[in-house]
Amino acid sequence: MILNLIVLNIIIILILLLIPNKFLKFIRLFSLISSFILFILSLSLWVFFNNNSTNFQFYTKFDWLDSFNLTFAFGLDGLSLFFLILSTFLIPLCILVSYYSVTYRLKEFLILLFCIELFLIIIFSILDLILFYIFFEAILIPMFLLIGVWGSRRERIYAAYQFFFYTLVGSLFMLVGVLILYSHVGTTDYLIILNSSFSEIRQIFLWLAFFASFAVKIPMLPFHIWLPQAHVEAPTAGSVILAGILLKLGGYGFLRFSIPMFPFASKFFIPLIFTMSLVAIVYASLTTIRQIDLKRIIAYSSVAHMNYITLGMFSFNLTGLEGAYFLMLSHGLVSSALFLGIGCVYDRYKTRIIRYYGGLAQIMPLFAFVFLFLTFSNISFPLTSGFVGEILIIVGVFEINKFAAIIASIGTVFGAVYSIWVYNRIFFNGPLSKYIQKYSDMNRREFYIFLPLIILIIYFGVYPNIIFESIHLTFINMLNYF
Amino acid sequence: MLTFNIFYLNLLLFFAENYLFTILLFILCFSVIFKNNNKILEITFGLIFLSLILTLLLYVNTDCIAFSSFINLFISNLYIYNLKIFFLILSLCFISLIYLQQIHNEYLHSFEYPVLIGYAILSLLILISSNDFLAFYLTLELQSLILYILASYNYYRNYSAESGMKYFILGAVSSGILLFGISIIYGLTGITNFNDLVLLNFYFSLFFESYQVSIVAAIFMVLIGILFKLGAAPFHLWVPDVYEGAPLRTTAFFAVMPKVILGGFLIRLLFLLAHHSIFFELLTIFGVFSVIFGSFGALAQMKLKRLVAFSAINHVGFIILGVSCGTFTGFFSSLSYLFIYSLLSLNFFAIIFTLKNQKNIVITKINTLINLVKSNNILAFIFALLLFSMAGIPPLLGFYSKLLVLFSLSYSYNLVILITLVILSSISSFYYIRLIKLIFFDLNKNYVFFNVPSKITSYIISILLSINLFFFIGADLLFLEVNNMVLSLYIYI
Repeated sequence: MILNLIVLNIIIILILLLIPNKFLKFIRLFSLISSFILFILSLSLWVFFNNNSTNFQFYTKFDWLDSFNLTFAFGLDGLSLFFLILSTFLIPLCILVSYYSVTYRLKEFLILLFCIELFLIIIFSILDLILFYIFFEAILIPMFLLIGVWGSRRERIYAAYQFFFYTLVGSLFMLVGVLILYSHVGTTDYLIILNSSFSEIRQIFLWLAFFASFAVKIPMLPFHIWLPQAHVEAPTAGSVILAGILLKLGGYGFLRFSIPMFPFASKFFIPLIFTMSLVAIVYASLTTIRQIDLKRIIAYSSVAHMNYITLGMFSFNLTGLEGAYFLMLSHGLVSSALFLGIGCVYDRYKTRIIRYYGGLAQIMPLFAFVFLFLTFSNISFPLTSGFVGEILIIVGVFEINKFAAIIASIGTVFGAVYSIWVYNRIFFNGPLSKYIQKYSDMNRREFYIFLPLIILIIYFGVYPNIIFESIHLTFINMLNYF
Repeated sequence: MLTFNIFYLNLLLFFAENYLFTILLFILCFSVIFKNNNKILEITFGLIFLSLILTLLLYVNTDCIAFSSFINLFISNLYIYNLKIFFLILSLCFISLIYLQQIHNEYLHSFEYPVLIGYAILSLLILISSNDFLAFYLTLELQSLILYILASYNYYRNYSAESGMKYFILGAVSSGILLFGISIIYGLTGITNFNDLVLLNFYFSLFFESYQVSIVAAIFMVLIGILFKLGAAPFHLWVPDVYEGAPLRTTAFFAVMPKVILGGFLIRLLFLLAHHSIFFELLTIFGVFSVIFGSFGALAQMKLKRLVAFSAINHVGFIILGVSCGTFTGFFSSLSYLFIYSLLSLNFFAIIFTLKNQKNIVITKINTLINLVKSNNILAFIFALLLFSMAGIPPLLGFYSKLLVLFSLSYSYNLVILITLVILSSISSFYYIRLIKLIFFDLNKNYVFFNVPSKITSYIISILLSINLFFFIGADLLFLEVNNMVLSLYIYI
């Protein structure tokens, strides 16, 4: 079933490559419809998913390199299922948002988006360590081109370089870890590695090697500098993909690889992760308060949310783990929606500096309502999905270390501070700003971008069990390693 | 096989090379006689191309795997056989590229160029199957002399003459050191043959803890001679200047061809010395230096050929580090790196050859590549994929060579070198990424208009692109062959 997705994606890329550039309308429509088809196919994976088994489902395996004992093994469990669906869900939204706003080489842009989708599908379903690494790094190529070519201002080159090299150096340390693991175990098949044990010092070393890569991706505090740059300079679709999915790759890596394979080292490094996460939550939130660029605010708030996630992950009780996972999914929705909202504003007024805005609610009431809802989701207000995630994380952390939970909740307060303040400054700040000359509210295309996101945020906030019933067994299984 | 003389079986090993030698003489005489013809250059190129195809066909059909001739002066095994076939196919591609690049360019002023290239190929073919220091030295000198001439071919440009001179002097000195090492080995032990070297090695490892200093120094000098020709650090100082000064077609030739053969020869030689680890430790130092100089040196370069030179030093460093593990995986990874590196270099030069501006002049500076996406966007994209591949980004071709070398290092637990290499690898990826930035999204909005690539070059580029992209599907094909090649080294005749 997963192979169907991959092969269909490759066929879509090939067809897009072959259509000449002058059929632009057809290219847009074709890519939109095919991304919907991919999304529906991945939903069917959820339909046929068995909630009551701990195995990897839809498991297929075929030999790749016999001489090195490497196989292509695909399989889904609760952890990867929803990430897969999230990635195929966000791509149609990206295509919709760049429907008319990307004018320079739209065809190549769409091809790169589908390449990213292909790599994401493979990353989330592959059960082999070296192949995971190969496609994990392969995403750098389309993202680098996306940020560099379709970014909006001079600093995009610097941002593209930073994104590329931060991720590359981290991934290369992970490569060292993967290779040493391969010399130890003899194969990189995930299911076999789960059954092999490592000595404590080796676990610590390997955990640190993997940590280098995932910490850059998440991003954790000293390695987060690429994130504001890359998010700000990327086009709207690029920011949505970055915030919605690529940050989750780090969390997915921790949950899939670091914690099950190296349980002793994971427990050993709990103080390190807790410190880094707490410092990041407070620091990122405080830094956000002083920003004047809209995208940078949401980017830093992404840093804060993702560090909530690592805080919850390393609390190692079921509440914390499930809260972390749910917050990852919710952050994927909320952050993407916020970037899409900023994309709407940027398309109209071509600036992201808050000082040029004010009183926008008077001319864009519908958009103001949508953005208010998204702001509340960002704060993790109750009845939105973020609340479920954060409350579970805080409860989970509270069982481990009460001080950490208190600081984490202070971070939530800061989150409220910057979110509401930003919203006030843009939408409510008195009469209409004199820099705004044209009045146009959200059009139908943009409304349809936000509609599924808002429905899902409310739905998951009110009834999160629909996600939880598929992932309970996965996380209970994970806790067995401790 | 119409002759039945006493040398029959011995010469059978070199049936194809004999053919190449004779036909080159005929082509040389022919082109001297008709040198006043307008099209003599194209005719000579065509004749050399045909003769190489026939050499390849002859070689493939000659039954000469596991063979030794002239009492172990030359041998042939599966390793040498596959390497020669790969080398001949590469040389065919290079000659067609050089020919197609030269049609409109009047710098190539005489017919001797293709004949000299033919002789260089012949000498390299004989070099790889040599089993004796003397045979190795003779063929190495022949190849070097030809390359000295080819490097200074544009004699009326200062750069070219200067690079030829530098290459000649430094190459002669290094050949001197090589010969000195060979003569010391002969003086101490009476050995020039590799089979005897294996026995010497074996008995020394049985009866003594390690070699005496004198033999270590002698073999070390031999290694220095070979590493100099490869362009490893700290013997790399000639590489940027010579690569920059030589005409582009010669740079393309000696960036790849001698490296394939000499690297293959280095692997064979080190295989024989495998009982004593001192040589591998020495090679570790040279390898790390090469990667350091190759990565940091290229960061400041603004001229394309110098960038190629430093990246060649970098890649040679990886090859040496692969060998320095001393394990089977090490040799395997080094040989695969050679194959993959030569394919990548061929691709690189193919693209550089096609980029001619309206006056039919090729690129010298990197900045000429600005905004290539505007003038030829498919070629720009292929070039970007190639550059990502050379930087070592998966899932493209160049990643697997780096993966294998890093794997063999991790298998032998050389962790310090592993981590150093990983950091330097990310530094060296910068200059490839900078080229990609120049091609796609530089801030300067100018661009240079390039002519349409010719048909055959486009075929070569597209075949190499498909290898670049889809290698990981069929990676087993290369790895099984390389596996068999390194296994065949274990067999002595």
